[in-house]
Amino acid sequence: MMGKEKIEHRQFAILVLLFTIGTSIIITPSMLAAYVKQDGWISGLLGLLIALLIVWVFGAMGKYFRDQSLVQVINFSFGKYLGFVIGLLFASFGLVLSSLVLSNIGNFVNSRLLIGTPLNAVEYIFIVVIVIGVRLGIETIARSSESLISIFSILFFLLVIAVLPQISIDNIRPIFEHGFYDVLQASYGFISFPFGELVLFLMLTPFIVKRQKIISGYVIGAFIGGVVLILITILSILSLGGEGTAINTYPAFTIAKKIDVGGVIQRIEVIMAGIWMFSIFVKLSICVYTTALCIKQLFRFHDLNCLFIPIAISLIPLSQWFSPSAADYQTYTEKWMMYFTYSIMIIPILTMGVFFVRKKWSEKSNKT
Amino acid sequence: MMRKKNLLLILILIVSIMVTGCWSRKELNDIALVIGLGVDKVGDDYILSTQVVDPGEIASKGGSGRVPVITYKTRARTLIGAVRKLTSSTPRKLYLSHLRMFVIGESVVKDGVAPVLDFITRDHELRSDFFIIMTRDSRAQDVLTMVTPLEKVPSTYMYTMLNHAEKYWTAYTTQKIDQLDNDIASDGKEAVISAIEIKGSLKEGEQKKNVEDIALKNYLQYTSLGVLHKDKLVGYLEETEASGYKYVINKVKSTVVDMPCNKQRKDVTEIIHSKTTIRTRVKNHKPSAIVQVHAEANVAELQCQADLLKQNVINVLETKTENEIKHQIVKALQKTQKEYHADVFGFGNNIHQSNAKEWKKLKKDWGKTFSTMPVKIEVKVEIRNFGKVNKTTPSLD
Repeated sequence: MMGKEKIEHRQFAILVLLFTIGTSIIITPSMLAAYVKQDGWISGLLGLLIALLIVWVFGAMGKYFRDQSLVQVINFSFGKYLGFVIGLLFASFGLVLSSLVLSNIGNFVNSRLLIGTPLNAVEYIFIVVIVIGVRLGIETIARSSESLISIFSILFFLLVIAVLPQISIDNIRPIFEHGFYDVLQASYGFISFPFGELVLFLMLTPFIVKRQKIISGYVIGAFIGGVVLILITILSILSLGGEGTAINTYPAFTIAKKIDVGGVIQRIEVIMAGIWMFSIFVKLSICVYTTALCIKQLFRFHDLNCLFIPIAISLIPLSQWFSPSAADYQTYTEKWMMYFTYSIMIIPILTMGVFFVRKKWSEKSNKT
Repeated sequence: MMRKKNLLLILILIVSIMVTGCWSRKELNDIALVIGLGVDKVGDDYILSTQVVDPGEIASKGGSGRVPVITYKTRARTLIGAVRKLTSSTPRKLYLSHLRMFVIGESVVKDGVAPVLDFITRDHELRSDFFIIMTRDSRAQDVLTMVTPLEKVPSTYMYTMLNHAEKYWTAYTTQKIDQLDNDIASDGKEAVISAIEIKGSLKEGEQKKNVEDIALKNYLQYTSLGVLHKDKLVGYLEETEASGYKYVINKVKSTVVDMPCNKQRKDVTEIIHSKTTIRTRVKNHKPSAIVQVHAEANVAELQCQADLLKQNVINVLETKTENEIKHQIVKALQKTQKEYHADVFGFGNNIHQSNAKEWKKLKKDWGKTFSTMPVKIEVKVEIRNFGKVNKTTPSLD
């Protein structure tokens, strides 16, 4: 059924990496700094440690499921009806996540780059590119991300170098002013977004050629992505201060705006915005693709391509429905999305348990 | 079929490239470049003065003899309201991205600057690379109507003037919006803003005639630093104190220090490099601070007779420079501790960074605690060079 398309484990790691960075790169610094100000990066490190453990579990499951995707395993272990409901929940997670990613990039472009342009126009243009991308298949997305990663790394490297003159070490002190409990609390959001969302990749694991490399691909991708996010958080805190990072909606863009190397290299923030344009493109593509894949396997469609356009079109109203305003996004949407992600993260673990029991059961009944 | 598809694709590409940015385009001849903004307060209303350049007059060729900038005034309750209201009196839409100077009138600083700063932090058209200054004994609208020599645009005049004053004279400080926001919001540091004054008469200074004399009669000058408590003005640091302030916050780039060598005359050294470290300590819940200045200097001017090749002479000059710097810092400290109770140096932030636990108790009443905090000043100056000649010239003996 899916024997046609293949992903190398290297490409898989790059997809995980870009997905992790995705929209998080513009929001994470302010999210982490919101609770613990200049200690945000410690929360990030702590969150990354816990997240790596979770991601490792995802990888192990992907390896264990072999050539079955999560939805297929759910169907197998929970049976026809319950399996369908849980699968549908998982698919809806993909859909909600896609629409939130879209609203993120839409709101960012609309409030920072193209002020007068209606949000709809921005989102439609973005979605057209996504649909063209996903129709070409997961293999194409994987390969293109492999080529995008080089531009991505160069731009990110440039950003880090160019921001260095703006930083002041005093901004990050005092280190560990807030207690351990507060720091841990600030990292909850970081674990679910973006690492918890990596659960979607359990739909893609059947495409990977070398099965034994799934875990390493998962963990390495998430690790590098997490390091990039923490690095950008540290840079934001160093150049804007803890409070400044917390109150800025898009700290990464604000520090890019501050770039001024010798009065010559300045006003290059839009080029720097290319960094997250790439990563968000990959993230949204994967979200849309996996959502379609879930729906296809749930309803047993034959053709995957016919699902993309309906999903894409539904994303635009959904995105504006889930986060109607900038303030709503930062207070309300972020919170329920966190709970939603955590509950979705339980699904594969639950499935694994039931899968295990069922297998044992059938072996037993075969013996007798 | 394939060919048609390709053609269509190319067409879409070309069209999309051609129409980029057309959505909210602003033609150059539709916008007015705002180069300076000034705010004053009258009653509950703000008066926004907007200095706009006339591009035709700035160009080196041509120009019909009109003044190169126009300053509009609008009165409104809010700043953005005033900006928008201005369209009723100018033919063009104001464009704020190229702002150089934001001048806050003394009346506003006395009343609190926070409400004014929100607009310039929030608005997407404004970048954060302009300078913020305040006026002293005058109104922002008057400062923005002075006709200036050398630079045709008064805002650029004030901008470069402040930039150079900070580099070579040191007493004044360039202040940008994010720094000011941070200082005002911070518990452990109070903000300062450089203050500009109108020297001479405003009435004559407003006219183009002002720049037609060789001896400039009416001009703008930075004279002091305004000290804020939270966002309200509490007083000024005069030149010497301001200079001492700059030593403490480690922002001295280059400056000169003069000291008496006999009753009428003075010697001068030029500071070429200076570094300050602040260390704070909290003992028995009582904070104290040590300010260490380490500076390198050159001999710049000798009015008394001296032979610099004698080691002792250099030593004396070093000690005198040290004492003079110390004196400036002490003056700055006295003024801020005893009169204003405002910690403009950021000692509080330093305690916060090095001793977060104690800071939690101290920060409530920091203004008072700071006023009685002992500060030890250690200055070390090394003279490196003495210019082209090694004696006072012409030598009289």
